[in-house]
Order: sequence, then structure tokens, then C-alpha cells
Amino acid sequence: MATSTRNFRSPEPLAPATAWLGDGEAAWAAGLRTAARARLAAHGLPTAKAETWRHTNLNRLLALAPAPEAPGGTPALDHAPGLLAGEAVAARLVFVDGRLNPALSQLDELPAGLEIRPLAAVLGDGQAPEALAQEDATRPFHDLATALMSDGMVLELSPGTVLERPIECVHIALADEGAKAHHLRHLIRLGAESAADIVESRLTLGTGATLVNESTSIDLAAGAHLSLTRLYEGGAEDHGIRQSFARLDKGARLEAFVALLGGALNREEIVAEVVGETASCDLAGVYLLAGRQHGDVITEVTHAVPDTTSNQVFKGVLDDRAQAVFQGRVTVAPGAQGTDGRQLNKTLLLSDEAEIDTKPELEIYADDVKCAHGATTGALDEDALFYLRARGIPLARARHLLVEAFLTDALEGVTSAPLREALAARIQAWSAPEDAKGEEA
Amino acid sequence: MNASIDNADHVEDLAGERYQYGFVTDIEAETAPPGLNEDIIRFISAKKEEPEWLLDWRLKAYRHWLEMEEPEWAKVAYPPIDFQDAYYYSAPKTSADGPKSLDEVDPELLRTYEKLGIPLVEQQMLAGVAVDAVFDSVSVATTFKKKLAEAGVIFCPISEAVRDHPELVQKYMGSVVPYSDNYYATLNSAVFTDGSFVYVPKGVRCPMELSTYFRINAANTGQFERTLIIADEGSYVSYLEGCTAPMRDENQLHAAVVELVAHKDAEIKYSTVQNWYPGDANGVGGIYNFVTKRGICEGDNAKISWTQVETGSAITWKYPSCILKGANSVGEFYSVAITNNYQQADTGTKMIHLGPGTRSTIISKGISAGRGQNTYRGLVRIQPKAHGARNYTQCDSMLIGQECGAHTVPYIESRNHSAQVEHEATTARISEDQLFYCRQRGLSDEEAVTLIVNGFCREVLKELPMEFAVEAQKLLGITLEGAVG
Amino acid sequence: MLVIENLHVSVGDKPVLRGIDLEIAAGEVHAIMGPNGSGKSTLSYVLAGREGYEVTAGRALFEGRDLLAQAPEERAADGLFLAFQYPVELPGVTNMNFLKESVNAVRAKRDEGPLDAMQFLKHVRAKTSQLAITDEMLRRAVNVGFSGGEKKRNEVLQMAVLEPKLAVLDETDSGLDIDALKIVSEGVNALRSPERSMLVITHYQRLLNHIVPDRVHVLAHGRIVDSGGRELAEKLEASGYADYEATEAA
Repeated sequence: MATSTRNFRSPEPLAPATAWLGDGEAAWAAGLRTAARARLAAHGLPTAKAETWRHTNLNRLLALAPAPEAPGGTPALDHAPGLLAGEAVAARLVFVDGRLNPALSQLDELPAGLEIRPLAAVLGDGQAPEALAQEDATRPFHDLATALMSDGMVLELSPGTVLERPIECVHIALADEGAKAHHLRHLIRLGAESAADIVESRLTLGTGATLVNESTSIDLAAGAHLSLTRLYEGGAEDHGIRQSFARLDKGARLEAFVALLGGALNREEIVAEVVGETASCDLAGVYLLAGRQHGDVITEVTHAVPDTTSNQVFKGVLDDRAQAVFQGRVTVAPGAQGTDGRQLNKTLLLSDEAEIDTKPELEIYADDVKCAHGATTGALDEDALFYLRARGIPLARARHLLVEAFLTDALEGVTSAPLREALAARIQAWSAPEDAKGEEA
Repeated sequence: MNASIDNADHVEDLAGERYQYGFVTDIEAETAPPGLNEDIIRFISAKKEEPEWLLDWRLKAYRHWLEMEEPEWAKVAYPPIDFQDAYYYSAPKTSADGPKSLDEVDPELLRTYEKLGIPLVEQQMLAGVAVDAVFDSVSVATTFKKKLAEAGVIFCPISEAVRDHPELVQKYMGSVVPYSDNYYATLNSAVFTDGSFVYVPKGVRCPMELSTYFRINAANTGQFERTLIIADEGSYVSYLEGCTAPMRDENQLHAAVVELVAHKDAEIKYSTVQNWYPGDANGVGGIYNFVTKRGICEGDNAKISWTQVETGSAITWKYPSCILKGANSVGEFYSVAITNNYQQADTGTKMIHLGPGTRSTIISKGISAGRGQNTYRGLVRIQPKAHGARNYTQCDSMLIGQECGAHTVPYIESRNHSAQVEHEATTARISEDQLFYCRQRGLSDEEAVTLIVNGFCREVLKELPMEFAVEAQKLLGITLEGAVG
Repeated sequence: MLVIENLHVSVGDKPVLRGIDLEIAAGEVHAIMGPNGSGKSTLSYVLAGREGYEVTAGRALFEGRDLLAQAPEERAADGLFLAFQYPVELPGVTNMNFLKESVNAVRAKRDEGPLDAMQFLKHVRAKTSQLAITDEMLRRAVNVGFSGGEKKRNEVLQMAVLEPKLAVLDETDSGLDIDALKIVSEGVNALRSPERSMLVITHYQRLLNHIVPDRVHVLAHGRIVDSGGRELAEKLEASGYADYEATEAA
């Protein structure tokens, strides 16, 4: 949708001049940055007129004006707590303040068929990776990421390679003072019949303000299988904006699970183009927000060819003055007969000041399809609460049990058992009231 | 048993008669010059002998409209409308002074309405239904006025209400849909010509169904009617609306505004069977139906129920809505929208829950055939004070053929934790198995489709008053002619 | 009543029926038995005119008319009824309304006037009690949420109401317990008459204990490989289809 001049929002607060960017990079990299900056200047940042931003307020972020930081000394950090800390992994990447930290990462002894390079190194190559040039005029934060990218993960899995262990990717922001922004671009390419599990988590150390803006391009060749798990926690001044663009070829499978457990603004936007027959795209997740946290889940799944499936299950619990937005769209292109597309969004509101804005959308141009969606919002079931209390369970504990029960089936989308347990523990910690925690100890 | 679905016979009767209301009445009309400007608005206002405040209101709306942009968010596509190329006032000459007693109505007009199946001579009418007949820009007849007056019910053209009941009109007009509401409602506020006015006093159950029959006849003329229905405390009224237009190659604009006000314990049931000319099989001609309909449940326990069957128009853009302000007030929206050939419909509702204990139900059935595009667009908003509010929404789409589209765009915004909102949507098609099963039992393809579509729409059709239900079932069959095979 | 000559039918490129010859006279009840995949259901669908079946040779005459040239509804109007193995659900279409639509469509094609509501109700009521079909079932949408037994009873009700000349019962016994089987069989038997023929398609002999056929045919690999009286069904019950399958394989 064209943004008229009346609804223009200047990108200036988030895209100040950064003379130091581009040092040691190839000319094409500078070209990409310049072109992205030009698009950004033309389109501006999203206003409330942009459909997927109508409920999401950027004023606070723009007032903070977090700026990218020139590369400095190695931050003092001796360990990286990740979701899989202590587990055996195929590779571990730790980004600190938007740049790969080799000391904390584990990139030697990669399994055969797996290649991982930091984007910062790739930018010095003779040729640009094709996916890096991907444009999306409707998503200004994608252009922002390209214009200001500091680093990222460039992952390639050769055809037929099936990784036995997951790849862990940890993003740490050190937020001591001021407002800092980190922009990353990741490229994930899985060859035919290959398979990988990628587990991403992000956390902030310190109480300063941050923006971490990431764009991920995912290309799944025929029969490839990617399981992607993302956990985002964040403090009261943390802003995380992510857009992922996935392309699924014949028989490919994408299983993504996203947990949004905090942050002033935490936005997950997944665009999936299902372009190969029998491919399937499963997107699931939970959002658990309290205080004045804001979470967005935006999905856009396009079934371009016959006989593909997609399934989306997102569940959330909102307390205090938290706000969440779910906007999911399933599009069935003309001729994409036999599509099976489903969407479910359920939200529990625990407080009178919490807000959920949900829009599950279907856009269908073929008749022989099975598409359905459902959405519910409401409070905890009073009858169930009473039943538990009548059996002697204190109110806080009873609420906690019901919240957990509500989230259970969403977690089923996470296939790895240790990961599921780790997530369950995080969710439990989120929803367990202090007194209930005391009882358990 | 349900209102027996004898569609099979009707499809036979009407085969080959795709749009049976496409004739033109040859009648001398008084028409204002084409184009839109303040002079035209003054002309309309003068023609209606309106008071100063109303002319001012119209001009305020017009000046505001000039500043507005045409909305683009709906999933409908059409070439730009040249608002200067249309006529904004056309009235049969004999009726230019407003409706008279039935004896004085031009016999040509009476014949027109008879042909449309709406006899205006009271002896021939369906007992229990009073009709206001609006022909292009004016009301030409209102029946049963006396009988209604005995019950204290006011049912008259809105231009007459402006003269005879100015205090009511001034108090309520624009109170639900303000003049600045949206592009088409604002245009309507500037140039509206006629429409119906209903006032049901406290505690009165309106003794008969009220109905307005809208007819566009003149070429290149927009119809901008405005309807205002007020149900005072504890009253009840059921209102029906029907519409047709001649078959013409050019598109004609119909931009109406309907405002409903239901006070404490009052109930308004508003039913529409919309059968404007849909254009031909190639998408040429047809009515652009851009309508703003909104009701407010002002008092506690009030209820507003919208039922619509949308089979006509080249483009339908309408969202009959309820503002649920009174505690425990109820809003309902039952909709069937069918698009065949090149028709486009973007329709749905808004349920705005303001008061505690408010409840709303939305049942939407969209059927797309041919190259038709059908969008359900709805908003359920629960405001912070709407404790214990409830909404249930069900949106079902049916696709017939491979070139049509069915879209569902529901917005749910909840700001109260004790409110419960449930939304479900499904998509189906008529399966080969279902068709074969029906044909094995002796039904033709078209009979089978009509039967299955009627079954699909049953939850909505049963909300219509009996006479309308039969009419609606017929229309579903006719609209879908040629959709299979 | 029904004459089938050298009927060959393919589904896609695969020949399923490979030369069926069958003749059913008025008032006769014939049974076709056969193992899974022998072409039993294909035969019933071809007779009723379902799409997706290509007749590559042969013909079928119904009362001397070329059955295969007609649309399904024309066959129905002429008096051919198929009781479906898997009755189809029609959401929102009440059973009562469906029956009425069917009866009046068939009557219209026979140049008979439609039944009015009272006549029709009487007509239906006369058939329902025997089949243990309640008014509640008549008000429900066709086959939606029906149990297996209810669906089959509903098929027999439709048959009773439409009064066909030839009824093809496709695996009407499948999914029925013994009590339901009895109710359904009694319903079918009540419709036996010298003017009405039936073709009972089944995998098991047990149905034929209740609906006793005049002739039994064995269908294997798309051909009728054996025919006889009702004793043939009993023989099959004892020995199974193995003999016929082996013959074909040899």
C-alpha cells in the first residue's frame, strides 16, 4: 500500500548517518546499503496507517532514538547463557552487541556439509549472496536492517546433510547506558533433503534501552526440513523487531516456534511463500506479557501451488497493561487447489487493563481448499478456578495451573524435549506468582 | 417446519430471467442539472422546503466531504467515480411535491410497484406490512399511515418528518452516523433526498411490519436516501427494506445512510433483501452500493438485529453496525452475501461493546461464484467498561468454481478481561459427492446447488420475516444461475 | 427391468469392470457378492451415473432405455435409486426438506404435480415408524452427525419415500450391528413387490439371511465369475472368495 506524504514518518531517529559503516566491505555491499537507505527515505517508517502497525506504537522507540554503535573493544563477557547452555550442539554463535564474538562461539569442528560464516566477513566477498539483495518495500525495518547491518549468520547446509545436533544462536545486548541499536541480517539456506534445528535466544544484560532489528532470509530446497525455535526475553527498555522471509520448495517443511516473554516492544513477523507442492509450514508460539510490554505476531503465509499445508497456533497470556497483536494471513493463490490452511489464536487476559488485538485473515482464490481459522479472547474459566480452589488449591496457584494448562498444546509444537522443558521452565517462571514459587521450593 | 424451501419451482419459473426487475418506468421526471456543488445542495434543500439548520448541516457536510479521500481499504476494485457526472435529484413530476394520498399517486408508479411485487393499494397488500415507496429521489407513497398513527407510530418519508416532526429529526439525525463519519456517509449528508422515518413511542409494539421499497429508475442518477428509526423505551419495531433498479450499462451510485436508535428495553429488527441490478455476466453496469448503516443501543437491555441478504449490486460496501452502549444490550448481525459473475462484495459489521453485560452475535455466510469476490470484514471491539461482554462470530465461505475469491478479515480488539470473544471461520465448497447425491435423488445441478446453498445459509434465512425469507431463497437460486455446469 | 451387456468400465486408465452381463426382471432381487476391490461399488456408481467412470464398452438398458446416456437425475426420475455405501452430508439442508425436494423433482419430471405440505407429511410419516426414524431425525440436516446405523436407515427411508422401480443397495449392511441390520432389512423387505427389482451389493452373506435374493452373482476382478441361487451365498460363507481369486490369478 502506498504511503501518502501526509502519512510519512521520517526514518531519521533510527537511521542517523554512520560514516564508519562499510569499512573494508566490497562495493556491492555499499550499494545495497545505499539503495536500502534511499528506499527508507522514500517510504519512511511505518505509521499507524500501515495495516500491520495499526495497533503498534513506535513513539516510545523513536523518542529513544537508539543508534548503531561503531565497533569498539571486545565487551567483557566470559560466558553466554543460552537456551541450550550445556547441551551438545553442532555449532554455537554468540552475537554480542550485534557482532559475532568468536571467543564465546563454537564454530570449529562443524559437521560435514554445514558452513557458517559471519555476515561481516561475507560483506568483503567478491560477490553478494543473492538473498541479501531481497527487498520488501512494505517492511521498512527490513530496509533499515540492510542499510545498517553490522553482522549476522550466513548458514548453508549442503544437500542431504541431516544435522543430529541443533545449532544455537545467542544474541546478547549489553545495555549499560544510552540507547543502542543493532541491525543484523541472517541468511539460512538448506539444500535438498537436508535438515537442521536452529535455536535462537536473545537477552539483554543491563537496564539501558536497546533495539535489535533482524531480518532473516530462509530458503528451503526440495525436501529440506528446518525447525526454528526462538525465545525472546527483554527488559522494560528492550525493543526487538524481526522479520523473516521463508521460501519453501517442493516437500520442504518449516516448523517455527516463537516465545515472546518480555520487552517494551517485541515483534515477530514471518512471511512464508510456499512455492513447492506438498510443502508444509507450521508456525506456532506463545506470548506472555506483563507490565507495559507490547508484543506483535504477524504472519503471512502464501500457498502458491496445489497440495500444500500450513498450520498456525499462537496462544498468549496478558497481564497488567500489556498489549499483544496477532495478525495472521493465509493466502491461497488461484489454482492452489488442495490447500489445507489453518490458524488458531487464543488469548487469556488476566487484567482489566491488558489489550489484545487479533485479526486472523483468510484470502482465498481457489475452491477446493480446506481453510479455517479461529480466535478467542477471554479470562480464566471461573468455574475451573473455583473447582481447583474447592480442592484446596490457593487462588494464585490455581491461576498458575490454568495458565499452564492453557499453554500446553502450543508447546507441543516444539519437538526437541530438552528445549520444550527449557521453554516450559521459562513459562512457569513467568506465570508463577511469588507465593506459589515459594510453595514449590 | 421451516419456511418451506420451494426454490426448485422458482428456479424453473425464472429460468432465463436473470434479473427480472430490470425494466425502466417511462415517467416524466423533474431532474436537477448534473454535478455536485453548493447550488445543487441548496436546490435539493429548497425543493424539500427544509429549515435553515438542515441546509447548514448539509453544507457543513459538503465542505467536509471536499476535504476527504475516497476510502481504499476495502477489497473492491472499480474505476474512479466522477461525482460531477451524476444527477443528484430526480423525481417523478407528479410526485415532486411529496407523497399524497394513494388515490392521487400516478397510476404509472402504482403499476411499477405492482410489477415489482409491491402493490401499494392497501386492499391488495399483504396484511400486516406497511410500505414507504421511494422512487429515485422521493417517496411516492406510504401506506397504512392512518392505522399506524392510531398506535402512535410515525412512519413517513424523512422529508415529511423534517416538516412535521422537526424536533425529533433534529435531535436524532446524525446522532449515530455523524455528518463527518466517512466519505460516502458525508456525501449522503450533503445530498440526501429521501428515505423513511420511523418513531415508535414508549411501550408500543408496532402493530405491523414496516417496509421501504427503494427503486432507482432514472438514468445516471445516484440515490442517496437516509433512514432514521427511533424506538423509544420498551417499544418494538420490525422494518424491512428492499431495492431494485433497471438494467443499465453504466454504473449508478447508491450511497445511503441508515441510523437506528433503540432506547431502554426497545428492540429494532432491520431486514434487508438487497437486489440492486448486479451488472451483466461480463461485469458491465450495475449499482455501486456504498452504504453506512449503524444503530445504537442507547439504553439498558436494548436490542438491534440486522439481517441482510445481499444478492445484487456490482459492488457492495456496507457494514451494518451496533454500538452497544446500554448495559446488557444486544447486537446481532446475520448476513448472506452472494457474488456471481464479476460482482464484488465487501461487507460485515462492527460490534462496539461499551456497556457491561453487552452481547453480540455475528453469523456471516459468503458465497462466491463465477469471478465474484466476497469479503467478510468485521470488527468486534470490547471497551474497558464492557465487563462480562460476550461475542460469538461465525463466518463461513462457500466457493463455487475456480475463479472466484472468498476472504475473511475479522478484527477483534478486547480491552476487558472478563469479556469473552469467540471467532470461527470456515471455507467450503460444494463437493462433487454432494451434487451427485442430490442428482441421484432426482434434483438437477442447479436445483442441487440452490438446495445446498440454502442449507448453507439456513441460520441467516431463518431470521428473516416469512415473506422475505421466501423471496430471499428465490433470489439465491437466481443469482447463482449459470454458476455450475 | 435392467439389462447389462458386456459392460467395461475404467477409472483413470485402470480397467475395473471387464465385461459384465446381468439381467434383472421386474420383481427380482439379485445379489452381487465379491471381495474388496472386485468392482462392486463401481458397478453401482456407473448405474447411477457418477462422474469419473469411463464406459469403454457395452451398455446398460433400464426398461429398454439407454441408461448410460442419461443424467443422474433423469435416471432417478425414471425410478433408479442408489442407496449409498457412504451417504453424503448436506449441512443446513434438513432431511425433511431434502425428501420433499427430491419427491417433487421426481414428480415434476414425471409431469405429476407437487405434493402439498400435508400430503407430503402423510406420505413420509407412513414410512418413518417402521424404520425407527424419529421426527427429530427428520428435522436434522441430511446425514450430518448421524451414526452409521442412522445413515443407512435414512437411505432406506429415502428409498421408501421415492418408491423406485429398481433399487441398488451398495453395502447397505456395512457398519451396522445386528439390531440395525434387522431394522434396515425389514425396511427393505417391506418394499419388495412384483413391480420392484433390487440389486443388493454386499461383501458378506449375513445381509442375505435377511434380504433373501432370487439370484446370487459372484464378482471378481471385474467379471461375474459365478451365478446361482441363494445356496451360492451360503457356499461362499463357508469357503470364502479364495477359490475365485485363485482362478483369476492362474
